[in-house]
Amino acid sequence: MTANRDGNEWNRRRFLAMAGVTAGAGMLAGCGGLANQEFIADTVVLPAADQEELGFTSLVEETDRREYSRSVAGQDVNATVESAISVYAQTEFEVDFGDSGGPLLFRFDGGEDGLFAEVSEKLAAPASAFGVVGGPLANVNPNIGTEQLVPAFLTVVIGGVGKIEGAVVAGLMLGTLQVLLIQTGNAAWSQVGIYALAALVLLVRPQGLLGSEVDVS
Amino acid sequence: MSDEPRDATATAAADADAEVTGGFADRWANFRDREISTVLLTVVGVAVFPFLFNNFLDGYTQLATLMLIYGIFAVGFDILLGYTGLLSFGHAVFFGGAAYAAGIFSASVSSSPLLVLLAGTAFAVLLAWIVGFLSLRRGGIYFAILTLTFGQMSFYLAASPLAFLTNGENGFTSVDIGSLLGVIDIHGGVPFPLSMLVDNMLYVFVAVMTVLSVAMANRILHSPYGTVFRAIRENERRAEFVGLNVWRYKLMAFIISAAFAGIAGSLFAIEGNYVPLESLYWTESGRIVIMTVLGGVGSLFGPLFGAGLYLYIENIVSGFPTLGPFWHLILGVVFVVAVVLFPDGIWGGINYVRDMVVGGEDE
Repeated sequence: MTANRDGNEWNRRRFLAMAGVTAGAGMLAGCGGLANQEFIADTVVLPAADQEELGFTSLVEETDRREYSRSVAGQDVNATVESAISVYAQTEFEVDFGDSGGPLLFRFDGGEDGLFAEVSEKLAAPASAFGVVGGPLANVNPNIGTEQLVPAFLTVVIGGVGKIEGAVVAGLMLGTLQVLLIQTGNAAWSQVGIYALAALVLLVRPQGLLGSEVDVS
Repeated sequence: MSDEPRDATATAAADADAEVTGGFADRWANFRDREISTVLLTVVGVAVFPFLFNNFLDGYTQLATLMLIYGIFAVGFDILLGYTGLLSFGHAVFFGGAAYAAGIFSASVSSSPLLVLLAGTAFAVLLAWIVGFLSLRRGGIYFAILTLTFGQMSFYLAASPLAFLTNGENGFTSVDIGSLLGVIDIHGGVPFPLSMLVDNMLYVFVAVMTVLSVAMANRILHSPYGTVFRAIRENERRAEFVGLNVWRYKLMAFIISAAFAGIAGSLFAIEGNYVPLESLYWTESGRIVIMTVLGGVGSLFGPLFGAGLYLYIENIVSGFPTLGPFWHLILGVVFVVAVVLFPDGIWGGINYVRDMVVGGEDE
């Protein structure tokens, strides 16, 4: 997948470099320059050819502009953050999951240049999308990666390694079970439940829900 | 692997050489292969360790105690990873589980340290029987993930549904450790001749357990039973065709390894008078993998050094003025360097240097 390879792209490295340089310059200039900041991201889109290849259709491609102003130590600080969001739905397959059925959403944000572009676009984009989506749901702290690593790993394995669809099904299964346990007043068991389910799947069908037959002994 | 040359012919050849030439290297090899000398080396090692550690390496006895505890854990883990070739990623469940069992036992049944130790270890063994019975149905990465799953399950069990037993996220605080055999205060000082080397009874207790654990591991690994473990590591299918019940041996390796984790876990509860919930978390399982690999997979003493180095960086280097905050990075660099330069870990490195000095001998 070579999405947004050319021209109109925003990537984290460039953004951070810019922010870093600006902040550095701001410090050199006695912090005056930091009072008014603009962080603007270009829109990120999945080119039409790639949309076709993956069976995605565009739902939303828009930019979001937010302005913050605050008074710090008697000085007014204004920041403008413009972020881009693109949402695509995959139409090729649909997973029927009771009442909560509906199109499955994938969200792509910026890719990265360099050697790992191919891999990181495939991995980092959904992972960072999770960060964006999951951020408001859980407390963001330095340990968030440690906490989410194991469930993410499990999701992939019980879905079937190498199967994107499997990961989606497994993710929905684990998530639904967890919510179900919380909603039915068994919140204490919600985390235990998803691991029990994972263990069960691994014991009964170790190649994963949608995985193909492999040697598992 | 460093244990390779110890098969019958090589040992016999070394013995014959020792009688004929009587060279230093041969005599050393001869000495080293005897069980009593392994035990003696361990005794000397744990006896002088706190003195050297406290005086030359900025250490303190409590950390030395912790190093030995994790050393026991790592030695046990190495029986599974290094000798049987099974990567368990959920060994925290036995370490933490034993710590909780020991703690709860001490609070509600008996506070005698030996009984507490026994209770914790027994709990770990029984738990390993169940977890191993289920996990060992799968091999390779599936085994690792299953153990990880059981580990995480136990963490969340202890965190919430069993909080009435484990005191949830606060950790188990009511550990109550009495005196050893009814007379010796385990948190007190030591009598004169010993006090030149050690300043703390708890260290002596843990050190004795370490020596016993190393002796036990040594005995197991040099018995025919241990040879079967190695056969399974080298080629599971061939071992099966020879007529061995591979699954049963794997389960026993898992249980033995968990028993060591149980000893370590119980000592951990006794040492700290407290069981943190994190002792069940998957990072604890990761730590023991790193310690073992760092020290040297497939060697008896390597994991002890690995545990020591890990805890040294975590507790001492992290207190250095400028470098301190980067201790995670330093640990990572040390790990990468060790794996790249000495794939057999610290112990492999020590062997390499020894061979250069002594002149290759039997490797």
